[in-house]
Amino acid sequence: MARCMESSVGTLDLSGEPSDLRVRGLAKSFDGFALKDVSFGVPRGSVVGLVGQNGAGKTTIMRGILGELAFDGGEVELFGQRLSGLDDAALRAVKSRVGFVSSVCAYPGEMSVAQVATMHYLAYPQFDHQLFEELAERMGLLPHDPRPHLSHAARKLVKDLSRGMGMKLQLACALACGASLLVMDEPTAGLDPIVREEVLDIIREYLEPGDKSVLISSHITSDLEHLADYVMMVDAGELLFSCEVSRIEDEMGLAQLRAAELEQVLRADERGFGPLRALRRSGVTALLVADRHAFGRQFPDYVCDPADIDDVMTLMVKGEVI
Amino acid sequence: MRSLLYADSCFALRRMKQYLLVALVIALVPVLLGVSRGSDPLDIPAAFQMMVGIVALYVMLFFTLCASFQADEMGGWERARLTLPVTRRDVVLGRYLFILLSLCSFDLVITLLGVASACLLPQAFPLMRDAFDLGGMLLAGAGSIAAFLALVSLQMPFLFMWGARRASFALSLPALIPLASMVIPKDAVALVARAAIVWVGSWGPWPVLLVCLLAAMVMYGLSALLSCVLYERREL
Repeated sequence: MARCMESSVGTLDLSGEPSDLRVRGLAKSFDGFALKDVSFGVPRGSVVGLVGQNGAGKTTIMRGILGELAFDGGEVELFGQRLSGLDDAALRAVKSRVGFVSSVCAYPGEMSVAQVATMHYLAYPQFDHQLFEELAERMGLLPHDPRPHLSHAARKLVKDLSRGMGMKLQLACALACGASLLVMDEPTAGLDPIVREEVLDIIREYLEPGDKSVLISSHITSDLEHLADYVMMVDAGELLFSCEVSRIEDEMGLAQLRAAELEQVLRADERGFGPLRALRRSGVTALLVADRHAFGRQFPDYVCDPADIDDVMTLMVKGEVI
Repeated sequence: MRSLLYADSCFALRRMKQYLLVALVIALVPVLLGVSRGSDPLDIPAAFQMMVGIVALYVMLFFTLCASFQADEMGGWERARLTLPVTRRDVVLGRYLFILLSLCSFDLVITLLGVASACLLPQAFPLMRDAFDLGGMLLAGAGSIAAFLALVSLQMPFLFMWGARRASFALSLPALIPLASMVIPKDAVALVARAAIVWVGSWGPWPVLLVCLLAAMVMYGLSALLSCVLYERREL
């Protein structure tokens, strides 16, 4: 059976594993939106993908983790330390181990590329300027030059950077600061496929040592399928679903059934295939099952294709429990 | 905090030339108009020392204060900077330190410009006196720091509590001073002015200035503490 837990709490049971990030019972209310009792963890050395519709609460969760906004309730733990109990010096020390990349480059527009790097050098004790230059050259932000920090590109203002270049600047700074945890809020949004692949390659290299973690939200679920170890889905402020990505790919399935076929499936005495959700669409019902191999054994005449993250998202939000 | 101070400085330095130009135009035009008319024997060195320096200093400080808070709200920097290893207290104290350093730097530059001009202008304009009062210039410069520190101490807590957009009234606080003069009874103003003149006369200008500077610094420090509390609670 797939290692998935579907509940209103939606916590993937990783309590036994060391986590770089752990959140418990997060709650936040705005006009017309509320984050309710969100709990999850990012195990050390793993990539956790966060998916959900626009306005589901992904960015709110990420902003709160990094202290951009204060939660109404709940607790955030970074590297085993509760943020609420830390004094200023300890809070700075913990935050210096976290790098953040957003879909929008929010550095002051009047700062240059070189000045942004210097700002990070002053903020992060472990900022590696040489690594920054190497990454920036590799991503085309700075030229191949003996002194790239003096180049015309280094003097380019943030407001004159394209969306892709702005994202690369953030990524280069986040990786060069020696972060053990990367928090990325839709980093590949609006990027062309070539740049997107470049960014994903760099993230994979960052993860190679095995002691770094990433929390990444994205609408581009194919990126998560290639990168993430775990995926969580947020909807209307609640954690709806959390699962290992491999389980979705290896075990879960999506069957397209006509009315009579669906009736036969529903009438079955045993449901070892673990039906999760059904979505009726003009004469055909899409049925999400937890174990497509068991479904195939029980109903060999019906086709059940491997599910992907998109299927799970759609069925979990729009489908009905059967 | 160093990183935030650096970010503020980068932004300000990029705008410094235009600030200085605008400040000098605003301050110099009335002086040069008076000189060109030639009818009024204007005490140019004293006017230059007092008016130009003070006005230029205020204009540059105003621009720096407005621009730095407005820049925070452009492009999400106000929130994004909190992802750096800084606390909200660092943000507040960094900005207070930046404004203080800016004020002192501007004052130094303007005083030096004033000294240079007071030496050169009498040679170009016959109506100007040869002598200039360096002590008066320095007194005006230091007094301006005290006055503007006190003013900014009143403005900054509003800006941290509400942001530049919602607290724009705080930035226009100096414009309210002439309005206040119409409301406050003239007798009261005259009484306070006479008491101040007597006090300065008995102590001498420099001790009085020192007391005013210390008072302004205390006020600035208390303002910073208040801003820390207000900013901690602010929903960005």
